[in-house]
Amino acid sequence: MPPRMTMPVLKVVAALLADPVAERYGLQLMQATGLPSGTLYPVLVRLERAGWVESRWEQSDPAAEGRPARRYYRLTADGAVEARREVAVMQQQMAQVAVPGTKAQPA
Amino acid sequence: MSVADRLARRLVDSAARRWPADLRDDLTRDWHAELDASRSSWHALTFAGSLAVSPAVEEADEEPVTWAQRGAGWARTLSVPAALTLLAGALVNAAHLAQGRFGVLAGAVALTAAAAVMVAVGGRTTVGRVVLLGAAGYAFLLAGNQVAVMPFMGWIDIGPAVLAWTVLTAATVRVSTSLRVTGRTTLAGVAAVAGAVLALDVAAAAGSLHAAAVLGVNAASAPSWFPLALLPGGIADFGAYFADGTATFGHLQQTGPAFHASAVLLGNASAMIGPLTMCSVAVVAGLVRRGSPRIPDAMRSPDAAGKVALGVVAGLGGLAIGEVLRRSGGATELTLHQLVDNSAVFGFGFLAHPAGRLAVALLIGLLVAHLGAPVRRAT
Repeated sequence: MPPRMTMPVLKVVAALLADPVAERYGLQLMQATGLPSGTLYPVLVRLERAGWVESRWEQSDPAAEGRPARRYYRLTADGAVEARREVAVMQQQMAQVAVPGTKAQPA
Repeated sequence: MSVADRLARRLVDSAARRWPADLRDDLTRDWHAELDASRSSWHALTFAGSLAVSPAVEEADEEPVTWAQRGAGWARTLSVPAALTLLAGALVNAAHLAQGRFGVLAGAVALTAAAAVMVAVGGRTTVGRVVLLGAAGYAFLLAGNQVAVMPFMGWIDIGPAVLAWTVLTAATVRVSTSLRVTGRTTLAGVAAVAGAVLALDVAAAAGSLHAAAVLGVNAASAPSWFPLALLPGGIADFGAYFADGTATFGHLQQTGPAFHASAVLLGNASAMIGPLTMCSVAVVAGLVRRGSPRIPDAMRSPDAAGKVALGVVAGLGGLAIGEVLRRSGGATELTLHQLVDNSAVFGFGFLAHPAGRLAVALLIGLLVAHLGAPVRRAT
């Protein structure tokens, strides 16, 4: 089931789409989206459950790094396609609101 | 590790416990790693704090729980004990009014009817609900005497009474529930009744010790104050005798019939312990029944518009009820007479202000709207 496209979801998706193959950890996504942790993580969980996002643990030695391994998130291939479509639809709707009287074109 | 860092870790651990079990471990590990990488303790605290106060995470196949839905849940949780307390106060007032106007027998019948009403509305009883009832009772009694009717109804009187009632009633709920779970239902019922009576007895004593000290009443008679507070005045007189009928205690500056100090103490205790007694009746009924009272199907309104309409109508009704309660409130100039025969009517002082009447209307509107709403899920 696709995730409900709320503003926080759109922000996260847009941040991930900026570089679809890049992996980001939680604090990076908080900085990129401006969302607090309590909003970001529920969004990430929903996106992961929808198959749009995948995560993996950093392959590092915590003793050598001096910190625990972090969890990285990135868009899946399908997720990137779906996300682009949803963002485009949203941009179209926003443009409609910005220019009253115009009709929406099919996506 | 600093105190702030330890607090942040505790907050994220606590937040993780609200997430679905299959995600909990990974998220805890994820958040701890982010806390380790935080620039400062303040940054770690804001990270953890946001997670700690974020809405509970929904299961995969459910819509997210919004703050509006959360607020509605809180309103439902808080409005039930508040309304029960208000109802308890109104019913005790009605019983005292009946006794004052039509005599002792009418008062006894009205008090029995009041208890029956509380049995009917007493719902699921938990320790948490008892604590909320205690909080509502404290606020109700303190705000109710803003138009000072009772001479001894300050925080120093109400605080100990409500605290004793809350602690002992909560313990009663815990014990009775444990007994019921192990199949000892008769014993659970006996424990519920005995615990409730003990809680009321201790509460009446704790709430009247200040009055006893001022009035010069020997505290050794404290165990008898609760039962005597429920009975008509004059059954047992003790303490100093005021032959000239002049009372000068706190807000009470009146002249009336000759009286014993016990009349003032018991009449005052009655106004305090009466509503708590009715709340105890509801609590015990809930413990014995172990279920929620049946809500008529006609009251259930699944759609939002229906709930709002129901709430608005009930809120308007609540304004009328507030006005009736205000008018039935105690007449301060008659307090001494009513204390002597124990028919004193509690003040509902907060209804003297429009904000108080609006709050009552809002409370009743919320409650009725929620009665018509199915519970979304256990939280």
